[in-house]
Amino acid sequence: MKAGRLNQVAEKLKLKSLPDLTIRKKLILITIFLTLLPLFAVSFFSLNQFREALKRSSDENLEQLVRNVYSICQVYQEVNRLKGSFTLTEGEVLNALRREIKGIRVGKTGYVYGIDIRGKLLIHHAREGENIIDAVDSSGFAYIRVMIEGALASSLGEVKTLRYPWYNPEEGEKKPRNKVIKYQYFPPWDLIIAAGAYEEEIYESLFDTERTIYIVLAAILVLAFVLTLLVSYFLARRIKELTGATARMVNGDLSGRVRIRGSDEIGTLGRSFNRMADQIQLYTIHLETVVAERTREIEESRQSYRQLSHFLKSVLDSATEYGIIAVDYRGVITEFNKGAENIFGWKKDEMIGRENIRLTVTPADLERGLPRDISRRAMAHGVCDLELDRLRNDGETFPAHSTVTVIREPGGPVSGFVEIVRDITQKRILISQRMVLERQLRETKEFLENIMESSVDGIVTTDLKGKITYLNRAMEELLQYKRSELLGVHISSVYLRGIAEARELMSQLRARSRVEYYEMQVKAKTGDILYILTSASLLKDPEGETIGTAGVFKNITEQKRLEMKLKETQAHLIEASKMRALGELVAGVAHELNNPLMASQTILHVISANLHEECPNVRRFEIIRKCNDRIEKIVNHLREFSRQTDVSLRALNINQPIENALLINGQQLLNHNIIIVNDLAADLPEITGDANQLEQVFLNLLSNARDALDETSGPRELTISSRLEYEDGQAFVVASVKDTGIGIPEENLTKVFEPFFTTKPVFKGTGLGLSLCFGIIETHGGRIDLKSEVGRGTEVKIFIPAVMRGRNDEEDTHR
Amino acid sequence: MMKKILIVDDDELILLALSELLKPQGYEVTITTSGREALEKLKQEAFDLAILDIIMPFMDGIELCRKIRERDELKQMPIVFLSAKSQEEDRAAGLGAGADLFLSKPINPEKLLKILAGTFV
Repeated sequence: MKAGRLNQVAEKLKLKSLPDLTIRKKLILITIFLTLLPLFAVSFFSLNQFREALKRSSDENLEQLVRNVYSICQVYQEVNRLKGSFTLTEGEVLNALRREIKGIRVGKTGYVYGIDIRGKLLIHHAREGENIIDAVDSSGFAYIRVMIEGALASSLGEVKTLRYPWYNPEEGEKKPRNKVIKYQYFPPWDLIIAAGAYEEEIYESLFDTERTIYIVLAAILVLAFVLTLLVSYFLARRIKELTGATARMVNGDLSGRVRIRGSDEIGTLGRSFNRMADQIQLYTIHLETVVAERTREIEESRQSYRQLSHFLKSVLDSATEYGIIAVDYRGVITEFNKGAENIFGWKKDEMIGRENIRLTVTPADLERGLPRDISRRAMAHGVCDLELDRLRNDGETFPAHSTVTVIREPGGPVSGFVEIVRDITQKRILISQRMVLERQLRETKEFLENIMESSVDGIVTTDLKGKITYLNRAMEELLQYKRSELLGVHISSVYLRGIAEARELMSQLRARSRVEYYEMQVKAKTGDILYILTSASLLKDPEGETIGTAGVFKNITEQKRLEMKLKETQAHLIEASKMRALGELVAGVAHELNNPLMASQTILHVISANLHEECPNVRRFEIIRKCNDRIEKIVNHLREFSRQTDVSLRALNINQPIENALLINGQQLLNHNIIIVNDLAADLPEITGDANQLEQVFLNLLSNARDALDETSGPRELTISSRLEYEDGQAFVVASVKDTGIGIPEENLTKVFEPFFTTKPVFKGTGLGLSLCFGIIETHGGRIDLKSEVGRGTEVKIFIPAVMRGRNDEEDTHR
Repeated sequence: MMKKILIVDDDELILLALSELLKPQGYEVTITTSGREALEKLKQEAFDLAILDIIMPFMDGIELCRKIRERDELKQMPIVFLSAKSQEEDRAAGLGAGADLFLSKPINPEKLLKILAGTFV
């Protein structure tokens, strides 16, 4: 406590220690303090210095004067000594000196004089000849004696100084003044030369200077004071103006501005002040606007409140289907509208002002404490929505939907509840009907969707623009797209022919309103092209307006493929059965020919055996025999062709039958001047085949080649080669017989495999060779390719499936 | 003693030609055009050799051969098939039915004569 008080006191003292003066007074004080003090100090020191300097220089002047006179004396003495005979008397010299010296004045009253060592004034402008040895100054100081003693004690050439107060009554001086004497002793003549002057006179200029300085100081003082006054006046005036403007502003006059110019701090302050005043005025205006706005709003809200309460009242009155019941926090009913009357059967008067809400709740719910429960829930969430059975005044219960809302004082406690209640008996009935309908609809929809989803054919619907709106699972699988990837996509984007196909379909649809068994191709996501059989129809809404299209896409790719394969197979079968029938026919023919042929041969043999050698018929019968032989040969060939023995298939290298054929035919080919190029690949995989039959094939081919080469005039070259080739992933051993012969005309290319087709001379070929080859290669599961160009040659290529098992395994293990 | 040869063939041209061939060679030739007739002939007299065709109406050569071999007295008689058929299975069927030789038509007459001569050595 004590410490606190002490602190307070200290605080007060500190505040008081700064004099509570006006700016003007502070400025004056500071000016005086800062200008005058240094001024005085400087003047004082400079004057002192000046005085010292003057004193020194005047002392030196006096001394110089003495020395000059001394020199004159020396001159005179010297002159006297040199002249010898013309020696001047002492008196003559003195007189001469007197003339020289008496005229010299120092200052106003100072002078030079000479005195001998006994005190007699030898040279003096007034008292010459007097002895002043006992002369004393005003203080009684016998200065002449002192001077004489000093002169006698001085060394040669030394000038001495003596100061004493003195006044000269003869000159009318009233009070003693300080006097300075410089003197020097001139021994030859026992003369003391002295020069004296009043200090006062020497320092006369100094005093002038001092006076001037004091005048200047005073002037500066006055000027500084006046200037300070002026400055402080102007400063204070501007500050006063600010103060005044502020005061006016405080009193509410916001229009006041200060006329402060200049770029100094006060100028800045003035501008800031003006800006501040502007801002304040602006804010004030804004505030006034805001206040006006608020006032208007309050008025409006008051108005709307009035309207609202009016509106509320009409709502309460007109809501005849909705019961609106307001209850205060104690449970007393404060509002019970027309609707509530209708619903519950109670009159407004019977309910208002009473805690009668329990009359609308079933006894069971009351027992459960439901009303309290509801109010708790409403308080917790602000609102509570519920459906329960309610009680009417006739004792009947009915289902009701009610919404209980909490009414709160603004930001305060609960002031009551509002319940909006509706009899939902009708609604319940409607809902249950709707639920039945919805379930039926859903079931129908699910049923239909199940059908669509379980369909193996793709089903698609589009809108009128052709954008896909639905597709089933089968369609997804068909096109390999996900449903989401296709929905909204134009249907033509999956058509192989694109928009052209879509246009075609649409024009047919528009013409006949449905399209059936329309065949087209679509692209799956994988890039596969699928054959599709489409049936499509227009989708219509219940008003008969077309809203889109629906299409069923049947994937017939496999069917198509099978169909094509079937066709191919059928062609093969037809070919094969043709061949077989032909074989049978040939076999029959051959067989039937055998008997007559044999009979003919036998008879011919009997006849020939019985003929004489000279008989001319021998030669003729020989021709018949040759004919028979030819017939036999043809028949044998036919039998060969039609032979239906089992082929004995085994694994073999195709080079083996080729080499056998070459072995049989090779020499013959060489005889025909044919160059054989053997290009058989080593290391070929094996095939499954009949070595004899294949040998027959190559014999036929070599024979054909030979015949073709016999007729050409160009190069005669036959190339026979074998190699491994892959077709569609299947390995084939390919044997080729290529000649540079005459070639086969294009029109004959398709005929050469037909039996009995030949271009060779009658006795040369049977026309069965290639046909036979065809049959054999067919039974080996292979095929024959024929390439030929007239004049260039022919190449026959035989493809037989390779047996890769063993080799593959071996290769696999080696890899 | 002339060798007696029975020839069975449905083709008369063959029968005529073979008769022409064999008779001058000193064979006694009996010809029949069916199996039934042949069996009749074989009942009436004995032959030293039979030449059978295979393809014949009513009873083919194979059946005929089998029937001949069923008779004890004919078991030793040489039987030669002379058929337009020439395949292995035909040969096998013929020999299996009890024939001694299988020849294919057409056959060189001289060759046939040699074979027959060889049979009777």
